[in-house]
Amino acid sequence: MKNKKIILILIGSLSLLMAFLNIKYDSFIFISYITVSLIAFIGLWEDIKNIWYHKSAHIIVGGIVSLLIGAYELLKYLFGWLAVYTSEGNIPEFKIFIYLFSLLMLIILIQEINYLKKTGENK
Amino acid sequence: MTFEIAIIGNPNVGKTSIFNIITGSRQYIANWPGVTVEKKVGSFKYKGHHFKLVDLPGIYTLSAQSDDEKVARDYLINESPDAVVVVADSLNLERSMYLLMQILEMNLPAVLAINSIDEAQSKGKIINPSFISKTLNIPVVLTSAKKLIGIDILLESIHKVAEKKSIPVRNFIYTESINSFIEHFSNKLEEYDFLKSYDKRWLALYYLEFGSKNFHYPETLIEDINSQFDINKLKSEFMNWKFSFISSIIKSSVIEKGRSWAMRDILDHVMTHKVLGLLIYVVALYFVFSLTFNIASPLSDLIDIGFNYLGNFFNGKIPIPWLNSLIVDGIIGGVGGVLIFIPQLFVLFFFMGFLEESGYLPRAAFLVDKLVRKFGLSGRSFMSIILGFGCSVPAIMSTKTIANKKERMALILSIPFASCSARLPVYIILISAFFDKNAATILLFVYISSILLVLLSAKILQIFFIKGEEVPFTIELPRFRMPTFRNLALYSWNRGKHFLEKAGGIILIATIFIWLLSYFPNNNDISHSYAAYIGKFFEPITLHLGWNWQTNISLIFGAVAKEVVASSYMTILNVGQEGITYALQDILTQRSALALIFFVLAYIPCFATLSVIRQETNSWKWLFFELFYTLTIAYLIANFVYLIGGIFL
Ligand SMILES: Nc1nc2c(ncn2[C@@H]2O[C@H](COP(=O)(O)OP(=O)(O)OP(=O)(O)O)[C@@H](O)[C@H]2O)c(=O)[nH]1
Ligand SMILES: [Mg+2]
Repeated sequence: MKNKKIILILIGSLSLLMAFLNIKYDSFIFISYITVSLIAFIGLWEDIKNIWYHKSAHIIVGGIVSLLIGAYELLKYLFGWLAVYTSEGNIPEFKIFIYLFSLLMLIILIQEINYLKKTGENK
Repeated sequence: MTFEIAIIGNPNVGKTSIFNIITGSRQYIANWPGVTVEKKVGSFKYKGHHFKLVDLPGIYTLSAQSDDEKVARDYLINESPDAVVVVADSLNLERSMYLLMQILEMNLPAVLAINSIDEAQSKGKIINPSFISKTLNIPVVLTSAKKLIGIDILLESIHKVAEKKSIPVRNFIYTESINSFIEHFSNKLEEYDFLKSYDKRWLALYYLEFGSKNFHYPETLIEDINSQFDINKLKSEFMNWKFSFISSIIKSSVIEKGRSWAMRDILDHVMTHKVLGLLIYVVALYFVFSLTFNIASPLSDLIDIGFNYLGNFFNGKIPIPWLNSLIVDGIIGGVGGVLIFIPQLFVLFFFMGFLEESGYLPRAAFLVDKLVRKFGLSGRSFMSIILGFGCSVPAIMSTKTIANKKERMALILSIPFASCSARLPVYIILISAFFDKNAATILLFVYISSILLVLLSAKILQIFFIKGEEVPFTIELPRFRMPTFRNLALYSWNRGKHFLEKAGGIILIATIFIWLLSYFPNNNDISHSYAAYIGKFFEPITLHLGWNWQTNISLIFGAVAKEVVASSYMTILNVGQEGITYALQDILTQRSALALIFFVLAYIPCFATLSVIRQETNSWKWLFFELFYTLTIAYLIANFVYLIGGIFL
């Protein structure tokens, strides 16, 4: 993608927001969102070695961590239902925004990889 | 007759993978350098001939520093295999060529296998084996252990080389001065009978490259040579010659086209960032512990329901009361109490498998190298600590690759503090009972503390007990590889099988024993049983931590295998997994439970670990030291945690 700066700012602030929305819900999810946000912001500012794929790398790894969050949430939800039957646990919450965030990141991730595939040849 | 074939090559190029395919065995494979640390032998048949195949630890050159490298070097120098398969990495061909050249200098019958050709192809790298083959006069095969490419041709080449009695002449054209050095050296060697069995030209070249530290050259010979030649100048001439020879081969046989970037570089750019890299590592660990509670616990409840059903089914059906109690409370209660943790363990094993197979494990070594140096360790040691989260035994074995004797010793004695999977069940029952709200966070905290404990212990040991000198350390980061599901499943299954065997063996025996002690002499009046007497005997030193006799007796038997702490609680408290929470809350407080978690983390390694410590340190002294040491540290820490816990809890 071309406007990597904007994308990184978007990812950084959105994940920060998600982090604080979920601070009470699950501390793993909280920490992971903070991590994604840090990955994005550091991708924005720090580029000492001047590596051409610096920003893309931060987008991609941020995306991978976000996918991990999505996968975790889904598993937690499914097994939460199992727990309802096995040990009378509470009915699990369906956190739509976590899934949407991961989905968004998946799209960005795929776009970015395609972009790299196209432009990477001439570098 | 049987042919003997050796497999040699740089670390992590896929030697063991090829060995496993050819012999049909299941030796340990993983994506980090230094997995194989001992000689492994297998056999196969090809075209009616018997072959013995020897897998060796990886080496970069024939000069060895660490114990595992010595195994490979000594094999090559002292044995005379009928063929040597040199495995090279197709994406790092040049580096492998140095080792190949050294093998050819030894005049060993060699076959070159250029492995991981699947990865080279997907990167658009083309390798022309026939050019290398003609230049060096050896068979060259392109292989892929993953995609099973080239294995038949490899076998055919091995067969041909082994059957041929004479080794084809390889006349490398060295410079004039090197030639005259070889000439002179070989002539001199005639005077020494005991060197007759070695190749004379090789002894000359080996001396030129590595000096006299790796081989017992006679002193008179060395004196004579050093007075006649300027060895340093000759050496650099020789190295230059080799360098340009190898690059010319590579230039003419490898075509690289296409992509200048790889996913590996992109991932590494962020994952080896000094702050983010560590943070992502912690997130990965946290992920596993969260899964342990969120997805494995419900599954574990499901198994528990099964065992409860089984218990109820047998209960009362057996007319002899003691037998009834043995089967229901002892065996089903106790062993079942350990088996319910299968889901949690599989989550952990799956993760460990991923770490090892993907190449993510050595990244940790790279990230913390600076930090752990303060503790007298190196990044390489840190890798062994993380491996210790699975099991201490392979973790201790993996220290063979550490050349620094002092560091290695300190590490062997400290690795038992790395929290192995056997302790997980104990943590889980205690954490579920007392810290249910922040279960995953507490577990993460325990694991991180366990790393710190290993580091501190290594430092303390190096200050007070172990002396030695420093040796520099290097680690090579393998490329990231996506592990296949099959490999991960296999890995988890192997580890899981080991756990099941333990459950059916030592855990079962310990459980029966505990049951006996708690049932007799007063038929089921547990508070006046032998178990109670033994436990109460230790109460004077544990009561201030809030541990009464039930805890003490569980800890005593837990020394056999840590899981037994969990199972004996179930037997003694006479409850299933669901009831254990309440029963534990009756006999422990939050503070004393936390102290207990840390005690279990640190105290006495299991039998298997002790025996591997004995084997690797080669002394009984260190084994007894270890027993005493871990027990003392554990007790100190438990008191410390109890004290600190008093402030926060
Ligand atoms: N893609 C691909 N991966 C391979 C191939 N051969 C081996 N591997 C992988 O490479 C890694 C190292 O394989 P091993 O067989 O343990 O390598 P080794 O040479 O025995 O390593 P050490 O014992 O550490 O010296 C593992 O993750 C294998 O799955 C191959 O042909 N293609
Ligand atoms: Mg190996």
